[in-house]
Amino acid sequence: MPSIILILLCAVFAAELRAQNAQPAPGLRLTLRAGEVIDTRPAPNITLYVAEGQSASPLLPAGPFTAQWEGFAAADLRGDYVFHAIGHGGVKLEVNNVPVLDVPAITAAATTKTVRLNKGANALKVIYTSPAKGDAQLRLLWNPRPDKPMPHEPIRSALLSHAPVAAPTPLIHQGRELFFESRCAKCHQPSKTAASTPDLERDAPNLAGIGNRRHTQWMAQWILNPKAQRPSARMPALLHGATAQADAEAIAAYLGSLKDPKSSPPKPSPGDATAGKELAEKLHCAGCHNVPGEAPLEAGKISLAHIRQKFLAAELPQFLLAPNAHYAWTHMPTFRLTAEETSQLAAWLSAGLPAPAPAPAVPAKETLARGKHLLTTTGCLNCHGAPDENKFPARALTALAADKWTHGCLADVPPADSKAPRYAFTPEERAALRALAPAAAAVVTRHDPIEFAERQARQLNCAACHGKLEGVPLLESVGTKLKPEWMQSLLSGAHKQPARPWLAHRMPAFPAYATHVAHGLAMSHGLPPKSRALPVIDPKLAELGRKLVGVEGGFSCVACHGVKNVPPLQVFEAQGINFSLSGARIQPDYYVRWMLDPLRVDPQTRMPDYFDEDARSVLVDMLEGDALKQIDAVLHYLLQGDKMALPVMQ
Amino acid sequence: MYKLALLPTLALWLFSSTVSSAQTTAAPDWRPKLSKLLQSDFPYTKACIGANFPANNKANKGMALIVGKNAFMCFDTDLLRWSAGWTAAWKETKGQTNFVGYINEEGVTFNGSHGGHPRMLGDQKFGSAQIPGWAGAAGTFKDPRKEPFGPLPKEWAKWKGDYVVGDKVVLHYTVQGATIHEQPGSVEQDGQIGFVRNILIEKSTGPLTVLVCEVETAKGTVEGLTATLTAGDKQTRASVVDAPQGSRFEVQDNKRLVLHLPATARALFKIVLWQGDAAAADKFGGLLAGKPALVDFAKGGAARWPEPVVTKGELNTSTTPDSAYATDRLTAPDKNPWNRRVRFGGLDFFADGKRAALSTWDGDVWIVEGIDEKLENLRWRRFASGGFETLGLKIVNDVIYTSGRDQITRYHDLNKDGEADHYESFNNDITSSPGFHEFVFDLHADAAGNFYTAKAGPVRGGGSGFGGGGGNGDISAHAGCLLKISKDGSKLEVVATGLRAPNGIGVGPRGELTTGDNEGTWVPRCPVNWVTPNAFLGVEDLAHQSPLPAHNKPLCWLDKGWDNSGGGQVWVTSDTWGPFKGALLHCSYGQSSIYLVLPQLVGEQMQGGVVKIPVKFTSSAMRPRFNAVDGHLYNAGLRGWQSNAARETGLDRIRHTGKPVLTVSALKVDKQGVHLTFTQPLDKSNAEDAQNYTAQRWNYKRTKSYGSGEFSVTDANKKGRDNAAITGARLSADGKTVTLTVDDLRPCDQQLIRFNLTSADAVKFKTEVMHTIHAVP
Repeated sequence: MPSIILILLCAVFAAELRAQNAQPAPGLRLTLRAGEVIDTRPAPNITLYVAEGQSASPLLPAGPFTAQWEGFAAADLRGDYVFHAIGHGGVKLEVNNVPVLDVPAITAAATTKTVRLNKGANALKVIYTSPAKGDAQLRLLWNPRPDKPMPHEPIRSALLSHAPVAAPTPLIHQGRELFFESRCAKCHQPSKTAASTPDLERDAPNLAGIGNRRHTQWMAQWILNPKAQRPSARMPALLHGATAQADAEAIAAYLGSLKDPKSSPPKPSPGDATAGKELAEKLHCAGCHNVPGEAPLEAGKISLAHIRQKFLAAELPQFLLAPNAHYAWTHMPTFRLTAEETSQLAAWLSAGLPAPAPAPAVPAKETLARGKHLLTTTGCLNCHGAPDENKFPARALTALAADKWTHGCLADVPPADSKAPRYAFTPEERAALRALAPAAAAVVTRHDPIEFAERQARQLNCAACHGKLEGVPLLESVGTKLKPEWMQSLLSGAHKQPARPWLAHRMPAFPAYATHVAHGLAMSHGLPPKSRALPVIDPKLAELGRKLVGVEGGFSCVACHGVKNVPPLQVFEAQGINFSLSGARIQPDYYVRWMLDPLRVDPQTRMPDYFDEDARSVLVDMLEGDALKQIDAVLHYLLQGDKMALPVMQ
Repeated sequence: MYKLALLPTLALWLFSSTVSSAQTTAAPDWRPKLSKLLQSDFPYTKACIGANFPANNKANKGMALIVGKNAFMCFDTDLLRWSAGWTAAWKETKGQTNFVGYINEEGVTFNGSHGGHPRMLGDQKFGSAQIPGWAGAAGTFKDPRKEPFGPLPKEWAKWKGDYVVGDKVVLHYTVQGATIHEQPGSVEQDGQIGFVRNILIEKSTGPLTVLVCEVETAKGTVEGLTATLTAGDKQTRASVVDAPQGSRFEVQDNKRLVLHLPATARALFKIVLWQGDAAAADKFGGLLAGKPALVDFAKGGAARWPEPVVTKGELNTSTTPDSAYATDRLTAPDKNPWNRRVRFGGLDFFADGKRAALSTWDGDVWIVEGIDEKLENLRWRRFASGGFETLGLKIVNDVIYTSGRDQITRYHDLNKDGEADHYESFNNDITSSPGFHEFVFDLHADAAGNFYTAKAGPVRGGGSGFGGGGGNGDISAHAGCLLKISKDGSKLEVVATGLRAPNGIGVGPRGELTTGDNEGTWVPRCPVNWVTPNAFLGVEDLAHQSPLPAHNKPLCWLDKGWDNSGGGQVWVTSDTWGPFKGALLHCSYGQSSIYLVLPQLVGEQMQGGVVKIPVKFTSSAMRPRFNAVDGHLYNAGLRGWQSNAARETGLDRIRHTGKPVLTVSALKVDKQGVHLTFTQPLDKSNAEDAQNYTAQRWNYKRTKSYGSGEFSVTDANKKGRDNAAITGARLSADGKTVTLTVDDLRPCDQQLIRFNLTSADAVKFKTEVMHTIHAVP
């Protein structure tokens, strides 16, 4: 293993040399070390959270580690700043090559003296050492106005940069990702003693009852060559040679016979295609799909041209209702559609598409038997659940010699007689998988929630909406804003009502991913996966908070914010979130920064600014006009959730 | 002057009239139970008022009058018609009959609702469609207006205002040149209620026809001076008492009852109108007793709010970091015996400088006296009430004028008891539709005596788009216009179009016109508009011109954190208010902030920016005014829609303390760079270090979307701001002007320059300038 790291470091070094004159890369360069093992990646912020006993990165074994961030922080004006570290562990900070903080073991927080920053880039180096015991945590914040009583704030990602390198992350990560996406572990199982991880749990569509759902002819085409149907498909072609076509048809015929007698799909009800088109625009289907009527087709987006060939007529609305019904880890999310909406979408999607070919004659018994035999012996059931028993053995991961990752599935040119699945990996993909080989057994069994959330956000194409659509927040900020419990319930689809019912767009649910992504998003901001215990609600403060949000003597927040079932008084320009939700949604630190200066947090917000930079309130006669005290009182009110009493709303 | 002209007429009337008290009404016992949102101590409320019939019957400029214990009538001052008469809504509970109300509280000034306006509650007894209340010269009632908004042509009929005496109201108008005073009332007898119109015609030179009421698909009969309209089992009856010889009723189109009046010398008569079950019709005769009469309105009535509300001001409620400016609070009379809401929308001073008048959004005018150094004894009197959202006030020769949605009102205290008795309509040419967002903002006068006010566009509930009917209103002729009213009130003209919600304007000493506006549809950010003649200020729905004229670019745009909803402007006319005499100040209503405007004229285009004067206000910054006597700036504001204002209303004084001001006083852009002039010399080495300055710049897109994103100046499609590199800073010989060298200095909608400097006296300060560059000369 050390030799690999050496090669890797040399590569990194060479890449850095080449890149010296290049444009700076966003974020800082993070290097994680555990013993001799090193992992690197660009990091959007100087934060970290690793639960005790877990790995700081999939490449690192669990146990003590260090993290080093290097790069530059941009200040827009020469000025005095203060840096503030929160967490547990040791922290060293150098600014412009001068040490400004060196605390071997912070227990809660540590603050620098004022540090003069130059206008433009200031060199930054942070070295963090995990604590001997307990969770490793770091949030490095700063305060650009230490002369003012304002809270420390995260350093915005846009202000961080570093010298670019050719390979910002080791190739092994890409190999690991391919390993998961291709479900390699379904055949080549990791050691039985290794703990399971969300990635190893990821499934493939269950074939039980699939005869109720898919056209047989389409299944035959798909089985024969999935990539011909969808270039981004990860399912391999398993059938090769002269009999492949007939084999695929036999398997499909057998699958077509797998019908659930209890499930009788409802009759397709004709939907309104025009309404479907409008709905699709709201749902932004075009974020991931090449939608009907839109040209040119975009590479990388999933075509919908085949859907009438694929779905049995009544099945499409059923599928849209719960895409995860037979495939928990599908990328397709759940949109809380009504039955009417699913028929509208189905009508719009199907309009103008050719009708599927008529169903083939009832297959012969022999064909069905051969299909079943092939299904159980070709490897299909290593990934897919089915009523039949899998009879395809494969070698365990630990039994695969690292130098043999050039054979079988990973052969550069598969021998004509090879029975190995064909994934159509590119040479780069094969190289990445081979880079994984020596450490695969360990690396694929480690779960790093931050890495998982980042990777899944990319795979699930969250950025097709977040940062693109009006009113949809940037993904990079949600982990610091929303409590992990709220993100989890939102992602799992547990919310009956959206927090912003006035938005045309809908946040869909990704139930299987919900818990892990929610944890990762919070941890990526240095916040624990479980919210801190709520402060005990002080009834007196809560009552003051109620007054502060009301009309009489308060800020009249209720002009734009509803409270429980009472709508806001006079929404104009922009509605606010119902107050009964706020306590459960918002991270307290974020809440304080938001309340003090909403435009600093979100330059596009229409939330007014009630407090000045001296943290003085415009309401001088409550709680001494102290902004932080008033904000705290409102928090005590908000934390009551749906038990809150109504404020004065007229 | 007007008063003098009127007096002989009034004297003549007084001499000859017979005053009768046949229709006196006891103060209704339900009045104290009225919600604080409605007038409980004044005989009328002005608003757009809806009625139940005929269909779509709305009085755009309605006066809902209390004419009896259980009788209400609505007068439409545009069409000079009685849109409806009704009895209140009552509810029986536990054997008791309780008053529910006579109009509901829908509407932005009442319960705050967007997209609504009050409508009558109870049992409507009569009504008329939206047609003129008096026939034109041709004898017809066909609406002669180009659009169903605004007053009738002056030669047809003209609204002159009203007199208030106790609980009586006398309406004053002319019809085809004939002067008419009319006093509504009611009579109750035998369980029947009659609605009474006492009408005094001074002299008419030709026949006149007055609209009495309309009953759809009615059978009409006329017997002498009584007319009956029967529809189903309901009858509507009208009689005229003391009619001029030759008067006659006519039923037109099986619905419309009109009364034809011959040319006449002075005539005083009354029309009595009743509606009820046909079985009770024989009781109608009993409602006709008594002579027609008008109260002695020329003398004024007894004071209804004699006791002053006394408040104590607070000094030094805030100061600027350089200690050069301090604020003092003139505590508002928001706790008052009449439970009136106080939300200041207009402010001006009397000549003595010790007294000011303030109008409120709720239609009152307050006068405060005791404006002195210590503000220890502020005495507030309610001077007037009943205005239609009076959001502007101007005092000329110690006479108060307000701007409201219906008219410019001139107030006269006839008996000098400290309360207005005569609410003269100085000019009512302005159009008003039922929209909730048809605010008429601010009132100023130029040196020649002409008045200026601005009318908002009918923004839809929710904030995007305009008009569309219903409670969102319609785009009428003056929607989104800056308006000029001649000194004598005879003429109103449009000066500029394309405004959205200009809550505040400014008129300079040389007639310079400025407005603010509110970000929204076609308004990418709040502008400070420098208005050139016939300017189109950007809102395409409200351009009132085709083809669309070029956009009159603003002096500057202001980013959200600086101004998300503009207030008024004021020119510094004081010699004692620091170094800024002759400068323009702009207020942000939404941010409750005041800014020094830094203008630069490039060719014909004004450009520039602002720097904040960091003081704090009790409420929003909306109506800044200088007191010519004490030389201080005062600001009145309210909180009625989105603002960070702390309180519902406030009046503050912004005083120069005499300490030196440390801020930017001028801004100029040219090919050499950006020149910032300061009020004090700067430390040279600090000022010439470019590291102490930073600049960002960006553009907006003016579209029908609400507001705008921020876009790169160099790449129109790229979102976000650009950094503008400041590569050099040079200080002038006098140490007061810094010239910043900015890489690729170029026109941009918005540039923000921030700096961190030290004065020559070693005082550190941080300031920011937000500006717009239309051209780099």
